[in-house]
Amino acid sequence: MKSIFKLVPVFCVLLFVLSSCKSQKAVVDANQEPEEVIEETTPEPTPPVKEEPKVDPEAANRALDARLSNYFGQIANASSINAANNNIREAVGMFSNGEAPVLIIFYAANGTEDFDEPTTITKYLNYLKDLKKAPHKVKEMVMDSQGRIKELVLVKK
Amino acid sequence: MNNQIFKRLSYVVALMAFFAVSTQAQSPVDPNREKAIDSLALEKVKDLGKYIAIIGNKDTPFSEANRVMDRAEELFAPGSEMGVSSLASEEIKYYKVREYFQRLMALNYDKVNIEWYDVQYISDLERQPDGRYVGVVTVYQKFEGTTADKLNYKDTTKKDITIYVEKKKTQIAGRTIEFWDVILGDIRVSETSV
Repeated sequence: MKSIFKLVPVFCVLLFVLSSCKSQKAVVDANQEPEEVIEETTPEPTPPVKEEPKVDPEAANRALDARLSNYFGQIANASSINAANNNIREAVGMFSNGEAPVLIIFYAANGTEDFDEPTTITKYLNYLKDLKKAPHKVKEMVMDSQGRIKELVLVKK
Repeated sequence: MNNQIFKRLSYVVALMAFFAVSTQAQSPVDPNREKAIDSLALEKVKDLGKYIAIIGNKDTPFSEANRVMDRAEELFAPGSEMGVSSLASEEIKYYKVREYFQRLMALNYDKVNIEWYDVQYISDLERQPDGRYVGVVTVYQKFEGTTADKLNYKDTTKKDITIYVEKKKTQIAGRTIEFWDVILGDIRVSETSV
């Protein structure tokens, strides 16, 4: 009987510890979003986290601009129609499609810009091939969700 | 008396408003902008010269020549005509531009060389009351055709091209873009020489 009385404080302490654990869990649960029940599976070993290289959008844009300008020059100075056409095919691959619009600013002053008749990238690249000159530089590129150019704005060099 | 004064005042105000509006409509744009428009139109004429050389060139593949014909035809107003002359005849024949290009491509020579030079305005672009600009550009075309047995035909033709420039609007990705449209009209032959 005495031993039972001795166990009472131990029991009380145990009860207190258990209840405090439960209340802490309740607080944690209250702060969490309700989660969907997920079947427990053996967790797959997580691959080592690779730190993705940070892409500077401006640097990426500059690289794209340089690549495109390079194509302009190569098409204009191509040694043959076939060589020019190969470059055109590759350059068009940088765009959403061959019909991507190209706007050409031929005059800009006082905040207004005057445009030549809009064309498409395929027609524009063929124009460079036919005229054997690359008179424009890139002013702006509008990208699509796949990182391809969906609209190009050019300006006279 | 008061009524008469009021009437006269209304006339004066109406007259002033009319002059203000008509001056505004004809006011010249920024001279640098006009120069840029002049250059744009001249460039289109030079482009046409290059296209004609490509179409005439016997080394140009058929598919390329056809593509270039399409581009060249787009430069013209619908129904425009091209004058063709020859040293052998006084007559100047006029063809619709597409027909002219097709005849040019089919010329019975083994080698054809066409070059345009001295492309310049003989009548500057003038703004019309409807806002359109109209001008005339003159070009010299040197033509040289050679057959396999080395028979040569050469001539130089002076041609006058009417140019229209007007502001138009188009929709690009849901945005309205205003642009200057350069349209070529008839090309008339004014001189033919050796």
